[in-house]
Amino acid sequence: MKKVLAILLTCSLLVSLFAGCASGSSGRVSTPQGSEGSASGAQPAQPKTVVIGAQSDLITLDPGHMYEPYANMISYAAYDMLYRVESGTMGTPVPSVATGVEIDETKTVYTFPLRQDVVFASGNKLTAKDVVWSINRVMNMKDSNAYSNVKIVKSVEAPDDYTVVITLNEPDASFLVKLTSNAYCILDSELVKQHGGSDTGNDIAKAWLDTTSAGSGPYIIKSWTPKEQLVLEKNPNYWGEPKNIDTIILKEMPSVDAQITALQNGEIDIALGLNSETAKQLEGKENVTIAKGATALITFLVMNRDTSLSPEIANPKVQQAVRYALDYSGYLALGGEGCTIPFNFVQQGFSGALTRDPSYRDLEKAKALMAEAGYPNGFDITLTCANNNSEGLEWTTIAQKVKQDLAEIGINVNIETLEATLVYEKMREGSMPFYVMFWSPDYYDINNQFAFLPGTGENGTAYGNRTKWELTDENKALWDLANKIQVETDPNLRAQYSEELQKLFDQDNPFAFLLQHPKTYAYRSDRLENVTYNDLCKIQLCDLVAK
Amino acid sequence: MNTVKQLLKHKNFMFKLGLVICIGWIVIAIFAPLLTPYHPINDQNIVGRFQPPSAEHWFGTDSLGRDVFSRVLYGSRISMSAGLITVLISFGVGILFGGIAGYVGGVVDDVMMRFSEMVQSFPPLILAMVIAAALGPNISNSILAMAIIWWPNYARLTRSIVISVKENDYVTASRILGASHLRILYREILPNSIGPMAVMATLDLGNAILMFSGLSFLGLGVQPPVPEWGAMVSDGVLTFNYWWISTFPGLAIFSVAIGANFIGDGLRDYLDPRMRKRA
Repeated sequence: MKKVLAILLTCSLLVSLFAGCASGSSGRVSTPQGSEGSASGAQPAQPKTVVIGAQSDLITLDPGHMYEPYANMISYAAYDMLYRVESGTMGTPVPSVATGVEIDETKTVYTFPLRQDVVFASGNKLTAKDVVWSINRVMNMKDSNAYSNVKIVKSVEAPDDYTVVITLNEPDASFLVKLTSNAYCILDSELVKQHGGSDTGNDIAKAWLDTTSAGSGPYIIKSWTPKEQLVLEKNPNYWGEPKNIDTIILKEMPSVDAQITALQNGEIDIALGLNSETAKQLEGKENVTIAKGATALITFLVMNRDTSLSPEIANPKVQQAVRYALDYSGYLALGGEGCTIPFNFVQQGFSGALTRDPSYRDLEKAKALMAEAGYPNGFDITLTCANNNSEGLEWTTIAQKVKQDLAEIGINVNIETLEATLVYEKMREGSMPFYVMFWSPDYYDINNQFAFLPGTGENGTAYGNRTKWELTDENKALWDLANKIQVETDPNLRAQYSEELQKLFDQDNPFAFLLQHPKTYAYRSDRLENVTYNDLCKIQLCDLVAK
Repeated sequence: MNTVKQLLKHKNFMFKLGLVICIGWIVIAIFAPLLTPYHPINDQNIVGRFQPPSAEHWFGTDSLGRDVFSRVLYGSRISMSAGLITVLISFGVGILFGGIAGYVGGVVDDVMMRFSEMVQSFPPLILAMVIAAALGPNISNSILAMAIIWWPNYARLTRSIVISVKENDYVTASRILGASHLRILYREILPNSIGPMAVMATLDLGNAILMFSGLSFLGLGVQPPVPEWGAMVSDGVLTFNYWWISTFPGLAIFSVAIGANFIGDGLRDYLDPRMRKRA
């Protein structure tokens, strides 16, 4: 009896296993469902609701404190700034409340004339004093994460009701880009003052601003339950051209599978938690569009210059050989559609960015460099990779490809996978000789990328310290160019310097840049149009139009 | 030899099935290079990645375009030897530890058993993870980690058997005849307690392979690109539409685990005459 039972159990186990496979391969049959509420085209009077599924990690809604990846998706919907990011670009600033800008010869005084027709959701008129008050508020919140974007400002003044003059501590060509971030949101100063707001320090309006908004954007923050959902409602007093959406709900869905299911059956209209791999589950599904948006996320190999860790990989000639040995077209195929190969540390979308030809691989050159460095027979090295991925491309996959590529020039790579947090810690200590890493800038300008230039110690750069890449007389020229780029406001000249810098950087650096990844997301094409993505504010909620 | 013959003659279908599965896998492990059409590590083919099962790639290809069939066959070498070594180490340590505790008895027994209970009181997988993570993830460390959590089972079983066996008349007789402790342990007690231990070991083999796969699945066992079943299952988790990447190594784990269990069950039935009669 027992044996029969055992056989039966075994069979049923096997059957269920195969059944699991089968449903995995064919996918669920999508049932055409009537859409709830949001998109019944027959009755135009019905309120339109858009639901977005994402894992936002928002911890505050106060524009003076927000710094999370999804912060600007919300701040762009509820507030206006002097300058905004142009839809569909990586970080190109375009005038919004400001009508333009005038920069003086010292490149430190920016004069912004303002639009005169902007009103807050409360009905108050937006004037220069609101701008001055909002910027001063953040300047006096030094412990706020958003402060890093305003610390360049020395002072801000309002000579009249519709002119703002911002004076910088030093020239900064990325200032207009910084101006597009939530730190520069214009708050309704009268209203926020009533709730504890202050532009001289001791601001206590955060608690109130976590529950609502005090801006002039097309939407108002209606309610927010952290880790559950955020509700945006149409601003009835919006000064611009309103779109046809009444309510936008940002639903917290930590599980990607849940997002995929919810998008298919119409519970949500946009799924933001996807990556290039998980999005494949939605391929060919009815009424679902999979889209890609440009990001500044890059994946690269770091080769530490610290000879005490590995004298072999620390050798600049070996590092150059590694760059020649990598099969770039292979990484491009691994990364999937929309990926590009950065020339080096400047991403596509930034001033003067160059790309790497996928056929850059040259094993003869690489072998010659290895011999020159004194390792004609290669060596053993440990490549550390966190159990992480870059937009769906697993780092262990990258590491295995690197192992294969470098075997061709005699380098025997042993892969070590570690917990991501541990890898980041070791990265900051600079205690790994060779590892896979990614990077996404804090603001969308080439100036942020100078973290990859040489320089150690207290005045060093992030990666200068992480790789012990010291600033020497030989590589000082990199910084000469970088300093010019940092302050050059003429876009053509800036791009020209940037190209020069990238070519100079290419001759000697401790990195091998592999890929720049796009962001993959999906939305209901039967309910939405004009869905645009940019890396700063993710989905441009102000652009969304319901069908 | 006689025992083996009897065992095979014994009418036990499940036992024979288990034997066939396990011997089959052992043959595959030994002759893997001859049976596999591709190299499990070096034959990357980026253009042909994520191919579904076909005549060319029976089990499809993985994220780097490697042949999953070849990797599953090669994986048997690592997964099965890791399971076997773990069980052997635990078996050895457990027999020594439990044997001494049971034979000597008294305070020594108390102290030794409390120690083994202390080890057992930790959740096994968590403890193995902690040890493997602390020592650094690689094959030998995860085998060591598993052996550390596994041996108390054998120690406890050995001890209980030794305690019952040492009261037997023949042990007393040999002691009266002046046999040394070592001789008594080796000639009288060991042969009479090895049976149940062997049953436990075979039953454990499947569990050990499963746990090793589990550790690899969590990234604490083998390091890529080594083909190991648990690690291969975890490869396919992120890319779930490519069901073949996880399914075939998963089935391999399943078949070996169940094969070892069938053998263990059959062995137990054979050694326990009461069970045999009832069946």
